[in-house]
Amino acid sequence: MTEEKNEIKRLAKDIFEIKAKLVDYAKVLLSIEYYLESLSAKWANVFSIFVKGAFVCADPHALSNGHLPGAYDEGQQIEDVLERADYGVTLIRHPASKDDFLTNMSNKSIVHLAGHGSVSGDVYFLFDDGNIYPADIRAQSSVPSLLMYAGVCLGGANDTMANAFRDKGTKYYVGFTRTIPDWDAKYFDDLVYEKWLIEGKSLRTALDEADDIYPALDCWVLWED
Amino acid sequence: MNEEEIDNKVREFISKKLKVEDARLAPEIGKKKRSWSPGLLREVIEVKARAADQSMIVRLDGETQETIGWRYTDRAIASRTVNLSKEEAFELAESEIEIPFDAEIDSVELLNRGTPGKTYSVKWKHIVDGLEVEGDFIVVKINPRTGEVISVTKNWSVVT
Repeated sequence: MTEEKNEIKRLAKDIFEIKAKLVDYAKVLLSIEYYLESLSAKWANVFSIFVKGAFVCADPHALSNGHLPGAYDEGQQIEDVLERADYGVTLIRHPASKDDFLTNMSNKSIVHLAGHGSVSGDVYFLFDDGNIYPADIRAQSSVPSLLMYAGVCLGGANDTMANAFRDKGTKYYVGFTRTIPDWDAKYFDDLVYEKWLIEGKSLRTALDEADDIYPALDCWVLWED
Repeated sequence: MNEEEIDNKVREFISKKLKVEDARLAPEIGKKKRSWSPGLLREVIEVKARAADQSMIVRLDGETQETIGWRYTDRAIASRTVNLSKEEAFELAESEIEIPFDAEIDSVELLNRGTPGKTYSVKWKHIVDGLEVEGDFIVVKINPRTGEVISVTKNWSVVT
């Protein structure tokens, strides 16, 4: 009996030590995260899969007054879901220039755009002072490491924009092959993030399931490895 | 309908869909979630269930408890390649769900889903006195490569 008690004590001690070591490792990981944040943009991007940063750009009006009330609301909604999933979020809404987008996109894991898009050979995104084309993305030193979610019309009409991001290192690109209604997009996109980041499903499953109960947005496309 | 009755309803439905004949393999009911669906404009009860090594998600109308959708999340069917045509996809969709008399085929589309994969989407619309009932639809999704139904969603109003 005493031997068993000693064995239990020994095991409890081992567990305690393992726990202490895990806490130490967690501290090291945390300090690495802080260190990465202080690195140059280029190097931080290399390691950005460890840094949970997200950028949400909602309702840029484009050159004409293309205000999208659904996209405006979506910005806040996606920010909330990302924060619940422990992402540090930068949110900008109108006014949003090309430069605002490209600068804030740097060193993020996830970038979500809710606004205007179109296609003329290449897919492009519309901002208050002009458009962003795949060539602009290719010229960046840093793109989102995990996901570029193009919640815009025709953002997946072809693979030009998706390839620009993915060739630079973005793992997933989500776009839509057709024009998408403003408010439908808000509900659909929110559902996707909820299922992906909160319920822990794969991004493809999250899109599939959101589409089951929101077929108005069944024109989504996911480019992934 | 109380929770137990809902569980039994889902069990019976899944046994039928997954062709579970052995009573010892009765489906286990998993997580149940009630939420407002902006897409379907109603409260939806989503039930996860498993039978042997297969699983499904079944969606019920929160008010009437009518089955309004299901998704096969894990099937025990051996993987095969059939490459369905549009006509075959339509026939398969028709065999998956009872189509109401006032339904009219809307589209059979092969949707691009990026890399990898494509999905057939077979859609019906609801027509009453020659007019389309807005927001009503039946959608059956099919994997064209394996010829398996992926999911079904039915949003159908009673029109008086």
